[in-house]
Amino acid sequence: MIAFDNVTKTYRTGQGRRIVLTGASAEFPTGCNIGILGANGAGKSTLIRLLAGSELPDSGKIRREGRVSFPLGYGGTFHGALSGRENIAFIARVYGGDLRDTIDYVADFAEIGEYFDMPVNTYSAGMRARLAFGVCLAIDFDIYLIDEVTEIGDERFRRKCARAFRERVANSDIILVTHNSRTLRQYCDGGAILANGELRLYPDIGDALDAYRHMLAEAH
Amino acid sequence: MTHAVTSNGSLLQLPLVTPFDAILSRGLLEFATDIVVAVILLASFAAFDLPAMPNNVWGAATALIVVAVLGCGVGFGNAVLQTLFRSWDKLWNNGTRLLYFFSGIFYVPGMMPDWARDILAWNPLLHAIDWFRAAFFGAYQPHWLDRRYLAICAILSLAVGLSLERGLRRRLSEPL
Repeated sequence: MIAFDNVTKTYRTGQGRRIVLTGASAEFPTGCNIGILGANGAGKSTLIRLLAGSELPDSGKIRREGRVSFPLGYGGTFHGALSGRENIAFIARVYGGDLRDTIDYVADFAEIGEYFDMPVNTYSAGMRARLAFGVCLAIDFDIYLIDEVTEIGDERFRRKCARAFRERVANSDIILVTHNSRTLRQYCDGGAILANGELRLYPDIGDALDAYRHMLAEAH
Repeated sequence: MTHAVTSNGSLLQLPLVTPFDAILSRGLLEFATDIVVAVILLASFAAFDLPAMPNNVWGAATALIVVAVLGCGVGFGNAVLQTLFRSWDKLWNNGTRLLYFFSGIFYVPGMMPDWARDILAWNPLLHAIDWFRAAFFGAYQPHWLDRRYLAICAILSLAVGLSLERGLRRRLSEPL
């Protein structure tokens, strides 16, 4: 469970401040997979980082119950000068996981071969994402935060990710950002719309998608 | 320590790794490096039977620790300012280069005219270096050396550095 209590978050840009949330209160309940909808630039990635705790709100409180993952996205949580193996070892230590088990699992899952011992700087975006998925799955989180990285790798790898996540969903929750409504329907029970500094939750993903389509139609 | 936040942006995406952790570990790494270098130097001198050990080992160690606290405070401040102003390191490096001449390294305070020394004695690094020097040479006990002044500067700098980190923590957590 992650609860927002009167959370405000703004951003400094070249021209003034951009608003992500203004006094938003919402609860992402346990046992519910939620897809986040919002226009480009509405602040979906910032919302994911707020949920994770990587970024702090301007004001208000965010309460978390259970182990929340780091944001799984293209940005990556890896240090470019370290190898994949070293990065995994670092993350395993930070989260108190078993070092050897985690490294073995990720090496097997990511399928990046000898690149596992090369600096992450030399990786392609896809390889980084594979590594990130691997380490995220290697650690038992109660809530997984996924930002736009569902479409990685070839068909086979995607199926493997989907299978791994379906296994996880039995005991964990997923909060997902994606523009692909099929992926949303596939994984999510509920939805949340981020727009104009407000965050509105819908218990049903179908309702959320309808409301979002409605909103877009009105804007045009 | 200046680049602890700016060069670790990706690791800081891990919520358990905070800017404070990155800055402090950078500081500890710098300190550990200097200690290893000092041990290697002293051991090499000893291997050739050259007398290089300080007269007062604990005095030298205390001086090092106090100046490390001073550096840690300045480092925290610099890491925060570097995140806010990307050119801060250039300004700081060029500005502090003058301290080589104002800290009594090459031109020891004992050779300075009294009026110059009276002014330069406001520079805490001059006291740090003379404290260290006095620990090596028992006969060198300069009357201008004020250990308490250095200790106060160190604590103040740490207070200012940590306050900057605490006050601007939200900015530091934003992606770079």
